[in-house]
Amino acid sequence: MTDTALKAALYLEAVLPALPLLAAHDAPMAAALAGPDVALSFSAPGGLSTRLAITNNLPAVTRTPKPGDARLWFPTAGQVVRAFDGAGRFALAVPFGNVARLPRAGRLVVAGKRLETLLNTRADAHLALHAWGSLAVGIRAAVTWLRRHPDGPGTHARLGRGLVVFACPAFPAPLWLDLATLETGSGEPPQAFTVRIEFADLATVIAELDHQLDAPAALGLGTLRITGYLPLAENLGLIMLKAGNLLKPNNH
Amino acid sequence: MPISGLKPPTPLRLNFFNSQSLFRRAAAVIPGGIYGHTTPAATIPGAVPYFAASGQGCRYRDVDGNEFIDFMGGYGPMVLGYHHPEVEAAADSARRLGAAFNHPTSLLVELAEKLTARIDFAEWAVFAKNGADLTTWAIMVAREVTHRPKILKIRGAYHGTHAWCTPGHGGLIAEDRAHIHDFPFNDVAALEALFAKHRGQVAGLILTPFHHPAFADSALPTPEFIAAANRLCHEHGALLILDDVRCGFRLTVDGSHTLYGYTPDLAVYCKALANGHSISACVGRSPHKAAASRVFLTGSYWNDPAPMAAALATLDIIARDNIPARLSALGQRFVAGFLSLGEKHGIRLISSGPPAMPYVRVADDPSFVRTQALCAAAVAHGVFLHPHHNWFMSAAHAEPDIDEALDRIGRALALITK
Repeated sequence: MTDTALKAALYLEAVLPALPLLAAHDAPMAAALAGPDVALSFSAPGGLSTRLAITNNLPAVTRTPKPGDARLWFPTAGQVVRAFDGAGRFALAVPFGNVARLPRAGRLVVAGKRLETLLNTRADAHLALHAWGSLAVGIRAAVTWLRRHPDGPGTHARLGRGLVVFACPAFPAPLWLDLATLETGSGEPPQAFTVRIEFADLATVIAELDHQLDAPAALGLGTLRITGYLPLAENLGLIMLKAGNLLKPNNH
Repeated sequence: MPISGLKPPTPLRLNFFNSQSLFRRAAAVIPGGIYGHTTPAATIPGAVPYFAASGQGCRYRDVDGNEFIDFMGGYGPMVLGYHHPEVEAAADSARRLGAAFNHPTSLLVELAEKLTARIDFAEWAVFAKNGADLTTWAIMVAREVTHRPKILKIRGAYHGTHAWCTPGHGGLIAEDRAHIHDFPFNDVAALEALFAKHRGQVAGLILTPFHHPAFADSALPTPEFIAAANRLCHEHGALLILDDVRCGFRLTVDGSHTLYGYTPDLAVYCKALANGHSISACVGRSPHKAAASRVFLTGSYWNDPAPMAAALATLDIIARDNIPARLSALGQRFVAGFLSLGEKHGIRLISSGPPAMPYVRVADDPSFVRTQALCAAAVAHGVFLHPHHNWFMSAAHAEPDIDEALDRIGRALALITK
C-alpha cells in the first residue's frame, strides 16, 4: 500500500468515525446532524470503504455500504486525500461540500465544518472534545496502520492481543482499543484491560498529541499513569505516532 | 478501577514526600526526571521511592527515611550488600592514592591476572565501566576476528543501551541493526536457520546465560540449546559471546558458563564484579588476543584504580565464602517462603529463574496489574521488590532478614486479599 493509499484509508477509517463519537457530546454537531435519515458511502480502490449513516438523528460509521446509500466513489486514493485535506488547510477538511446537493445530505456540510473545528482548533470551550477526538483519531489511525501498512500484520503479531484503555477525567468517556479484534470504542471496555493509560489533565493529553510529553517524567510526577503491561502502551504509542504523522500537514 | 483479585494497598504506610519533591525538581532539568532502568516509570510510580539516601548490608533508606529490605541490590551490583567493609576498605585504600592518573596502576594487571586465573577459558582481560561498553566492544572483536558483519542475539535479551541493542526506540536508524538478527530463546531450529541463512556472514552469537527479560518470566537454557549454541558457533567459525553482565560471579565463582555448559570465546562481566563500584570486564581466548588489540578501547576513567581494587576484593570474597552457594540457599528459602505465603492467602504465584536471581509473580496476570499490586504492597511494608524485573539475592541477606521480609510480605498479602 502506498503512503497516499494509507493516508486515504486514515481519513476514511480514522478521521470520519470521529464524527459520530463527537456528535454524542457536542450540541452544535448533534444539531447539525439532526434531520431525516440519510446514508452516504465513501469508497475508493484498494478496498477503501466507509459508510456514514444518520438514523433517528444518530450518526454511525461502519465499513460496508448498503443498498440505497448515496455513493461517493473516488477513482484514486489521491483524490480521497485531496478531498479531505484541502489545499493549504490543516490536517482535515471533511469532503461534504460536494454532497451538499444530495437530498437530505446538505446538513453534513455543517457537521463536517464542526468536526474540523473540533479537531483542528483548541478553543477553551471545546478543548476536552478536541483532545478526546484527536486521541480517538490517533487510536483508529493505529488500527488502520496495523491493518493496511505492509509492516502492520507483523507488528500486530508482536504487539499481542491485549486491551488498551485511554482515560482522562476531562474526557466524556474512556477510549479503548481491543488488539485482538482491532475494535475501538468509548466508555467502559468489554473486558479487563491489559494496560490503562490515564492522563491527569488535558494539558498532559495535549502534550502527548503534540509529541511534546516527557512521558517518563510525567509518569513519575503522576500526570500520566500507566497501569498494567507498560510495553504495550509504549509500542502502541509508536504506531500511533507513525500513523498520526501521516495526517500532519507537512505530509500533504 | 478495581483490580480483579487484589486490592491496591491503600492507605500506603509510607510517604514519599521528599522523593516526589526531588523528582519534581529533577523533571524540570533532566529528561525523564530519572532515566534508564531506575526510572520510576518502569516500576510502580507513586508507590515506590524515587531516590535513595544510604544503604547498609541488605537494607537501604530512601530520602524520606523509609527503610527497605532490598531484593534488587542496585539492579544487581550489590552482591555482597551495601558498604561491605572489606570491599570498601580496598576501594578507599586505592582512592587515597589518586584517581585518573596518566597511566594505569598495577591493579590493572593484578585484576587481569585474577580473572584469567579464575575463569577457565580466559587468557586475557580488558576493563571498562559498564556492561554495554564491553558487549559492544566484544561484537567488534568478533567482527575483527572473523571479518564478518552479522551478530545473532536472543530476541528480547538486554545487552545494554548502544544502538545495536538498546530496548529503547529513540534516535535509531535502520542501519544500526542491519546486521543484528534475533531469535527466540531456546529455539534451536530458529538459531540453526539464522546460521544457515547467513552462512559465512555470522561473526558472533551473543547470549545471556539464561533469559531474564523484563515483563516476563525468566527461562533457563535447555541442554539442547546450549549444545546447539556451542556447536553452531564452532561449525560456522563464529565467536560465542557470553553476556554474563547480570549473572557473572553470582551463579558460580568462575563465570556462569561453567554452570550451564557454554564454551564461550568472549565473556563480559560487570554487576557482581566489584560490589557496586564502576567496572566491567571482558575476557577472551588467546587466539583472539591480537584481533582484540586492534579494536580500540578506552575511556576517560577506565583506569581508575579504586574500582579495580574493589573488584579484586570482591572476587576474593566471592571465592573465599562461596557466595554463589550462599545466594542460592538464601534464594531457595525466600522463594519457597514466598510461594507458601501465596498458597496461604489464596494467590497462585509463579517463580522463575535460578534461586540467586529469582522472580515471583502472580499467575494468570498477563497485564501484570496484580503483580504490581503485590509488589506495591510489599514496598509499603518495607520490602523492595520489582514487579517486572528479576530480583537479586545478596550475601548480606541473613536468614532472619529473609524471614522478616517474608513476614512483611505476608502482612502485605493479607492487606490486599482481605
